[in-house]
Amino acid sequence: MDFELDGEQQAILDSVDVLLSLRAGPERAIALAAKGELDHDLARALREAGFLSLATEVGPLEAALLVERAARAAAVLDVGARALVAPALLREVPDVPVALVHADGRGPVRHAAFAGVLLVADGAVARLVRVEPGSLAPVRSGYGDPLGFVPEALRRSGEALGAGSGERLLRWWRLALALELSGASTAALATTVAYLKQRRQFGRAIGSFQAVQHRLARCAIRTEASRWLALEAAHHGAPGERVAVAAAHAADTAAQVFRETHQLSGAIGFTREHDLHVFSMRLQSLRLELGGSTAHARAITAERWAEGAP
Amino acid sequence: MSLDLAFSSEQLAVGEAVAGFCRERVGGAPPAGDCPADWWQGLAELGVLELASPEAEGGALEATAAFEELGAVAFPGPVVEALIGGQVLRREERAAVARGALRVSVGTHDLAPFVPGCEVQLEVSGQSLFRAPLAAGFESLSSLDAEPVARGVRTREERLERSRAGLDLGRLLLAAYLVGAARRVVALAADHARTRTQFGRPIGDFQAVAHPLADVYIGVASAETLTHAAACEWDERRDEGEGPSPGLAAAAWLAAREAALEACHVAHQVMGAQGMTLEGPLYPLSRRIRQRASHAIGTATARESMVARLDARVGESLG
Repeated sequence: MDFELDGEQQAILDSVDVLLSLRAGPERAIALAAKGELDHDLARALREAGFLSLATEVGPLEAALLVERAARAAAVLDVGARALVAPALLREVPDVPVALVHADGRGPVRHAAFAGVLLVADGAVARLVRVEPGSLAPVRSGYGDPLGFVPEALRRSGEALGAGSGERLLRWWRLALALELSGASTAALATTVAYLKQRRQFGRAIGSFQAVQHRLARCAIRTEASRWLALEAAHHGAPGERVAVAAAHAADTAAQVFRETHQLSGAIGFTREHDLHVFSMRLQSLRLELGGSTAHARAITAERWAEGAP
Repeated sequence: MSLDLAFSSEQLAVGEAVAGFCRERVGGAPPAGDCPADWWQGLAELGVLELASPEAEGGALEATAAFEELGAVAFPGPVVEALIGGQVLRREERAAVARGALRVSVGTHDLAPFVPGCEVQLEVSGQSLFRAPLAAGFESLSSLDAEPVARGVRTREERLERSRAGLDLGRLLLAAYLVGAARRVVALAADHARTRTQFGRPIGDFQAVAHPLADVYIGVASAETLTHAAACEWDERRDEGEGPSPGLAAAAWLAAREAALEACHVAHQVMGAQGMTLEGPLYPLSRRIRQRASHAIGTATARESMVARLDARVGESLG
């Protein structure tokens, strides 16, 4: 067991970080959200650098590291779906945005308005639906990621990807979600700590008060655990129980981080001048995706304690 | 080296050896009170009592693998304390601890667990460990699970040099022990819920039972992951000749403590009166979890370490 990155992993991560620091970040996320746009420039840059094909060319753990880092940088892009989920199901990774859809879902779908490929989880199978990018109706969103509407007919159409593909799609989707939640939670917490260190009250930095520190420490423990749980699941190839544990933990952590960071930052956290909302609003939508922590917990029960489970 | 998140074969072998020993000696329910002398000798022969010390081949990961198994059977006695001794005591004392000939107590300013019976008596105060033997004429008390505790007046002889390393390893091993115990507690409750029928179906079918069990399972899994990450960090820094970094072991200890206590709470709810019988299997585990969760190492300094880590992290990422 080794929780340190090796030379190659560190090199990949360093160049991912450099690229993201130049081309993503909260300021850009705010500008894109105002236009309801997807970050096509970032997608091009990531593809040219080879990062979108990490899963097939290096491994799922490296792709997972990318997804977590992109979420920390508030990338407005389908990195999780394209770099981690699609490679687990398709022989060729699509060059167009990918949206993940639940056949029984009714609500708007992340990134669907820009997607060229829909991966639909429909019971036992997953289906691949090709659509003209930009053909699906956009839905206005206050959560940072652009949304789109996927009509019922499309949710039931497309090419089936074979036995077991439905379950495989859900597993990798859960993993991507856990990584995105963990990255956004980490960033929300870091933004808050930085603010509390400079903001003064009673002649001291707010962050120096013990009551504040304890609350931050609890959030820090949870975000740290979320990240390792998700990376561990990626390392093991996204087994059902591990991804459900990672996603449930990350969703519960997100709820706590949302509550605490906004309580501790006060009203400024909600303003557009402060970066916190970029991450916290994302947490609110991501933590409910795929049914939220209740559904993830139910998946754990099924994997762990069902008839015939180990 | 690479990011590799599974136990190596050596670590698995240590875990299996300890598990085999526990199966053979402890069997079903562990006894209340202190560790029988022959069990202690058995641990020494297995090499468990010297893990992670400067002389040992195995580091914190091997120790973690071993302590998860000890926790799973609620193994009695000052085992965590022995390995703390392996960090802070003098060379010849460390050798005696490894042989099982010298036992170490780690307590608060006036309470010393496992005394009499421990020749070396240490006191925790903040982030420091003192050699502080109890004066003669102490009062013998009994704790929740009949482990002996002495109350009396200590004389501080010296502050031990590697206090931080000792406390950090202590937090890490307490976490591993609690994770092992909590996993077993959750498994017992789940088995009960699966097999016990009420109103014609297993009670585990009921959302009201399944959901809290899944919740505590998540808590235990996350504490386990933090424990492994902390053990890796410990070994990494030891190889590079650095002292322990603050934070990760503290996070593991706080998370494991909370998860294990919550696991006990839920398991007792699920198992009802069956969970309260002395013969077990639940009660001996939950009793010892409570005992270990109130270890003298405490939670206040662990939270401080966690904040220090958070501070350092933010310093890095935000320049």
